Amino acid sequence: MAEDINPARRTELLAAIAVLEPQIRGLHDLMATSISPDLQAAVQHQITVRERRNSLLHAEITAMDMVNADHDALLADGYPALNDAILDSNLMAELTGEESDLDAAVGVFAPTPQATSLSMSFGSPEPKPAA
Amino acid sequence: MPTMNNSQHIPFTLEARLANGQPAQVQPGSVVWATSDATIITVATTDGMTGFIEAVAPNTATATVSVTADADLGAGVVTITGVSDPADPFTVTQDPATLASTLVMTFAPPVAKVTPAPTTP
Repeated sequence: MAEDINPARRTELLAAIAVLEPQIRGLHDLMATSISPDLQAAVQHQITVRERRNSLLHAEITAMDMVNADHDALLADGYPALNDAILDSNLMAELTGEESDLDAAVGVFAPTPQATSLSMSFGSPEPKPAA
Repeated sequence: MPTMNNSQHIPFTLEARLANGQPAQVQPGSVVWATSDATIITVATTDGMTGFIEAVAPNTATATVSVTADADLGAGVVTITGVSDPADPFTVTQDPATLASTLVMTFAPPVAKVTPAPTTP
């Protein structure tokens, strides 16, 4: 792996795993001792909670590994550079001709002319109709 | 000065024009008229393109009318406006036919005066 995109986060997650895994092992060992059923239930609950947390931590680290691998592939692809598309002269002439034809086609059309002013005209006064 | 009395109205016609002066259309239903003083005149119209300037009441003051419309016949809105000549505003005078012109007196038959009672000195 050439580059870790988020080493601080990885360190944080690994530190959390380093705390959890001895706890989980110890809790399993505790289950093998002669403890009361009630205590077994409490211990089992903590095993469930902490194993779930440990699983999520490992899942995030695995996802980070995949992101790093994709990042390496992106860099290997030359990112951020993207080379210009090069055409031989014949193809370039064809492309330029197509552009000219498209411009000519667009030029056939004109927008609908819009009114720019309003003009009022008034007649002579008339009697209003009877109410 | 377009002057009318309070029993009259003045017909109007509105035309939209292109920049080259040719007739043009505006978005149907987009024409909105307004008056500078609705106590003097109002605008009566159904399609906005023709109608009447209605006299409301005689007034020594004058009023103008304005109009807006949408020049874009498509989905967009391009507002154009028109205003009546402020140097030639509307005036509403009193219709003389509604003014009193004569005073008529009528008299009843004579009646006896009421005689006051004599006073004791």
